[in-house]
Amino acid sequence: MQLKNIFIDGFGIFSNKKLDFIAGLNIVFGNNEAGKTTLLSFLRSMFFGKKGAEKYPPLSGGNHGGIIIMEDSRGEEIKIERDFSARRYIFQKANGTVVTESEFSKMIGNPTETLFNNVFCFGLDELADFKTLCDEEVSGRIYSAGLGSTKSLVSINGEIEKIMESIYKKGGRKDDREVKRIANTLQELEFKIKSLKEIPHKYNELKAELAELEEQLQNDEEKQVELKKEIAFYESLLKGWEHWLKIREYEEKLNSLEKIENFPPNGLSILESLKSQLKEVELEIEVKESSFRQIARDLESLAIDNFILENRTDIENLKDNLALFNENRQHMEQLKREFETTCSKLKDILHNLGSTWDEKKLQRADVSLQTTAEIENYRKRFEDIGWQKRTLQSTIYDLKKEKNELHEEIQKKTAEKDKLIKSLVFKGNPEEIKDTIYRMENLFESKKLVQLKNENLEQNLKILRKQFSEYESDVNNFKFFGKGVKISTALLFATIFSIPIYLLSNNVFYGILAFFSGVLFGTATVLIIEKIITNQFRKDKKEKLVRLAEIKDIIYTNEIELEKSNKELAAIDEKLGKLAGLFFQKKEFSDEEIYEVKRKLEKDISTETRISIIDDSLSHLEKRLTTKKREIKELEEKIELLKKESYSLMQKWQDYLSARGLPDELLPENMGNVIEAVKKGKDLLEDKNSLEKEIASRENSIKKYACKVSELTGREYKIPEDAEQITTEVRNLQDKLLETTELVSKKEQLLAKKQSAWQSLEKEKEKLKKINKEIRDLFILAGAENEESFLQRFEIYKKRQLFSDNLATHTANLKAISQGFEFKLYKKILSESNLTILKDKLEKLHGELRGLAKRLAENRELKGSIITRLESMCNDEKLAECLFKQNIYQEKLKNAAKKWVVHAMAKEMINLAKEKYERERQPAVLKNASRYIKLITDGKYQKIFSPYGEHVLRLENNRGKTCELSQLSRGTAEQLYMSMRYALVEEFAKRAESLPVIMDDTFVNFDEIRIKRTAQAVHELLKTNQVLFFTCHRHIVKIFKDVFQQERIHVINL
Amino acid sequence: MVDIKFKFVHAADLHLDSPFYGFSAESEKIQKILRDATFVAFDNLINLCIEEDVDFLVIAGDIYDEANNNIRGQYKFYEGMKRLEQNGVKVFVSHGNHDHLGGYRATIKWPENVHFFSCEKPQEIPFYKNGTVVASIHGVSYPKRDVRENLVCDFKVTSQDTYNIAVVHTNVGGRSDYENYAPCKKEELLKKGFDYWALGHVHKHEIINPAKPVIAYPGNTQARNIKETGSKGVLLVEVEDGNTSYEFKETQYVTWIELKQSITELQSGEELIEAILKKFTKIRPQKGGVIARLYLEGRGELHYELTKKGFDKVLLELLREQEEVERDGFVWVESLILQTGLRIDKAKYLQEASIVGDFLQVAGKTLQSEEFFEKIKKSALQIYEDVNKVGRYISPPSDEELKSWLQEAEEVGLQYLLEDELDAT
Repeated sequence: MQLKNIFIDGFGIFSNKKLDFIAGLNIVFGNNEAGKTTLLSFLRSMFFGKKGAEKYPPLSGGNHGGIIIMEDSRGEEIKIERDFSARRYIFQKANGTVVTESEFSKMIGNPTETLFNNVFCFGLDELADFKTLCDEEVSGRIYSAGLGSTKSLVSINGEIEKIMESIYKKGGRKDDREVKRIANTLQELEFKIKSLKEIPHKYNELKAELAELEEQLQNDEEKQVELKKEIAFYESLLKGWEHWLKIREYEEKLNSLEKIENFPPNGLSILESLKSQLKEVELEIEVKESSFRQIARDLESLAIDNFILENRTDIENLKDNLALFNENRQHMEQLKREFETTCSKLKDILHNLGSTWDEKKLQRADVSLQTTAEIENYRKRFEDIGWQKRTLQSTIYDLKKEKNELHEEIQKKTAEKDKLIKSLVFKGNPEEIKDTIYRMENLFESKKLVQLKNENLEQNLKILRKQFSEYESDVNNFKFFGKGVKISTALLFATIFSIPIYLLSNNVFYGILAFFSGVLFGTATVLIIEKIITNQFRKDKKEKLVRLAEIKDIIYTNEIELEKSNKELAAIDEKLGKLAGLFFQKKEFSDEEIYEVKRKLEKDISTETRISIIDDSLSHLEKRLTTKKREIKELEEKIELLKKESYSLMQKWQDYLSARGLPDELLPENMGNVIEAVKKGKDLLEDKNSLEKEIASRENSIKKYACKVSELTGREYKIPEDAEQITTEVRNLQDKLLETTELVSKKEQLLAKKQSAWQSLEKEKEKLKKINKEIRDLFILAGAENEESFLQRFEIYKKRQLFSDNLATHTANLKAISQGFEFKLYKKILSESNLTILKDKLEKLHGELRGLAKRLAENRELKGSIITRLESMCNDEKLAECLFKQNIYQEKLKNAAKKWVVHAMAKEMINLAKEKYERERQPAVLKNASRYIKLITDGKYQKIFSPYGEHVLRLENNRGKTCELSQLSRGTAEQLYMSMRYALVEEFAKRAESLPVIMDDTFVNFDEIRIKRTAQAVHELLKTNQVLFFTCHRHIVKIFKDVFQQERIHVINL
Repeated sequence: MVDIKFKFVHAADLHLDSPFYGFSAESEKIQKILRDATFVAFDNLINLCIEEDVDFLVIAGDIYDEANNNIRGQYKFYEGMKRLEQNGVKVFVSHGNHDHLGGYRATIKWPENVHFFSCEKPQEIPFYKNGTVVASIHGVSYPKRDVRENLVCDFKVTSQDTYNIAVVHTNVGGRSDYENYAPCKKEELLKKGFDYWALGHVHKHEIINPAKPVIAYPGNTQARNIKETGSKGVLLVEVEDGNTSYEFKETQYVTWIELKQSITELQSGEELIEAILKKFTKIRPQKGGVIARLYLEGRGELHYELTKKGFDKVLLELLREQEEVERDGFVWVESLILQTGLRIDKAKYLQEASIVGDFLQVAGKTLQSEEFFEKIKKSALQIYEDVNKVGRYISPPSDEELKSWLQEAEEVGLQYLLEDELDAT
């Protein structure tokens, strides 16, 4: 790194000052107060900031600060700009990249300000001061040079010490050191544990207290139980007092009564019940005896009719048949009427059927289903034949009508056809006619086309001929124009044109001159124009002539064409004429005539077509007519057959009738009425016979009934006169029978009743005896002689029982109350006490109990609290927790101590290594320094070294003698320091960008020879570093110039 | 000998409610779990006695730490004894150095089924089953903490007709890693004519003699520090026809495990976490939990991340966060020990004429040369001289320990010296 230029904006005496430097030696020469020191300070301040700048405010104006431009070994520039008053600075590369101060510092090998001021930038003061070299930083640098890093052993030691101190420092009072912190915690824990360890002793004390308390509690509890028992005893005495009084009262009462130990249980009620039973039985006997007597009387009074009883069955039959008897009687009348009606109806029917019919014939007549079916069959067959005949006849009628219609149609069509035949013009073959028409149409078409073509040709010719005549006249006109223009005309034209020119001119001469020249010019012009035009016309004429010939050719061609097509037209007309001639006897035809012929031909063709259509329809109609005729004939034959069939059927029918004796004229359809009449007659005959039979049977039954009644009553009856009387008699008999039957059953009942009344009476008498015996037994049991003494004894017995019951109740109550205590003792105490004594005693006992309960409650509470405390002591983890923590912190302390020890050992070993290094491997720096001192002193001194364990330098001379610094002259000592610095600079340059070495008149104490030699050393230094040398001594400048021989030297005069 | 079959449980060193050692995590949750762990283990013991329907339980001392004046421990023990009484299980207790009879004792009325052996001379208590003496239990308690005399001498078998059990808290063979209380020798025990020596004091389960007589330490019921790794429990003993069979039964709630993870092959923090979690799944228990001490070792890229970038703290927090310690089956990292190193070629540096080379040489020399070591030790152990802050709480490390720290110090130093280089990479 070299300094290229500097610009001082304002710094001390400098303002707006610019200086340039070379890569080699720059000697800044100036007398005293020229500003050398200011410049030195400026450079230091520019590198390391404001510190040194304060002493040099800008005295001559400008901003406090400036710019320095440096160049590194690769030729890259870097600019440092500082404004000290504004505290602004910038480090910037040539490419504009801004770098931070620390980056810049790294670029130049991280020199500290101290290092820079002592090694790179120094004056006489620094040089002569031994301390500056013995500074830890500097010496550390020397040894750490071997590390190959920018870090010094000193800083490493510092870092390790920092860590150690964060852990522990002997005698250190800071609380933030780890060991101190841990020790404090441990102390606290120790204290805590000590107090916690007291707790177990308290636990045992509490336990003892608890045991004592528990004993007292037990005693008190026992006492309480006893007290409660006593209280209960007295309370029960009090409660039993009333009963005790009662017991004594009933005992006395019992003693005063006669002793009746036994008495029949319920004796009184038994006696009462026996007595009432006795009464009831006596009453019953009385009632039963009277009812027995009444029954006997009733039996005696009964009278029964024996005749009625004997004819009981007959009477009952009469009663049952009475209704039938009356019914027969009434029905007789009706039957007789019906019989008469039937007879008259039968008579009518027989009359209607005819004289031949009587009852016997009727009886025999066959009206079975078979017969009716046969007749029905005949009827149907007759009907069927009739229907068929009618149908056929109607069909024949329809067909005949159609036949006539067809006939009429044929006649109509034939007439129409005749009319059309008459209307035909040529009567030729239709095919031939059709062909002629077709050919004519074709010819007409061709003719029309040729005619159109002819018209076009004629039109063309007309136009062409007109064109031709136009061109012809054009060509003739060209001739006229070509000859018309001559020189004279041109001259005249020019003269007329020139006159106004002459008139307008001021001067005659000039006028004339102008006139002639005008004429000349005009003529020439006209002639030239004429020539040009003529040439043009000639060219045109030539073209038109060619065109004319062309048109002529076309006209010719068209004329030939026209002729050809006219011939064609004539041929067509001829053909047409020939065709017309075939039908029309004429030699020549006009177009109209030919058209007429064609029209007539076309009409004939259409008429022929219509005739052929009519022919078709006629033949169809005739076919149909023939069919109809045949159909009619067939049907008429069928009718004949039917007639024959009808006749034979009639024959059969008449045979059938005669076989049955029926009149011949009867038709099957009338046979139904006859059969019906016969059927009816037969029914009536049957009815008549059955009526006769029924009348006879009923008359017989009536008679029998009347006889039976007569037997029982002994009277005669006539029928029908006595019919009502018979009815009355029968009813009387019936009543009598009913009465007698009732009396018989009543007698039987009375007999049974009498028997049972007797038995019941006997039973009651037995009961009476039994009751009387029971009463006597009861008296004996009660020790009584009669009812009176029985009742007396009962009263005494009842009282005794009441008293002893009460006595027992009270005794039982007292026993219940006294339960748990000995009853004898209990009664004894009762008999000895009175109420007041008992109450007093009880109150006293309650008072004692209350006192005891209070004490117990208090003690129990106390016990509870002790137990709680004991339990909490048992489960208290605090001590365990603290002990655990104590161990943890001891472990932490061990770890911290170990870390400290490890670092201490590391530090110690580094120091030992450093010593070894110092001792065994003289650093390169000292070697280089030795080289420099040897050069400066011309070999008088050979070696610089630093003895092991001492921060001092020694010199060894060429005789091997070691000199201490104090033994050296000032100059030599300074040369030694100078050598050391140069060596350091050299060493530093190996590892980082070399920095410029700036010296401020450091040679003043050197003799001339040494200056020269030192200059050589500087020359040596230039291999690695740029050098700035400040001086006010011209001789020094001169020596440098001599040594350097103008090479790589630049003198700046301030 | 009476041939009635019987069963008993041999337990010792319950240390109810005693703190855990060597534990530095501040999480209250985990502290609570660990504080309760000895009680859970004790519950497991009581449950075992009930479930197995044993005839009696013998406890060979150190039920609780009397020095802590612990009521809670004694009370919980009382509750357990009550449960056993309800289930008809008798208990024979010999006190040890931690619960010696001279110490604090909470006033508790012990249930009838519990017998505490006195401290004067070995007592002999017959155990009846079906009206017959089937076993004779001999025992003695410590009158004070510091019992240096041999207690076994006075143990005597009075009748060979019964099964003789001796219950005593003792250091057999004078083990150096345990306080040498009531020391005795194995040979002595073999000669005494007992059938079963129910011992206590040594926390690691050990069968000193497998049969005739059985001499056994069941170990403690719940491990309380990282040295006590592995299963912890009691012995379930069955005697039939004078023949003894026994089985170790686990009681612990939390198990201590040392986990080691190398960072050598790992490139990123994610990979490291993944590798650790993989290890977790292997050790995750069905019941209770695991307290793991995680050692990171090996040279690798991650060393720098872990030491300088504070990734070790992040990692620890992350591993703890993902565990639910309230539930069974947790793995809780108690601490993370960094034994990692920079991935550097030490040999190359050693040959370099640089300060790093010199440093490595110095470090090597310190470990080898007594002179160097003493020099370093003197300045390094200064911290322990501060009695108030440090000395009274902890004692300085042993030389051996210090030497292992020296290796760490070498890594620390290297890191500082090479920091810039490391930063650059």
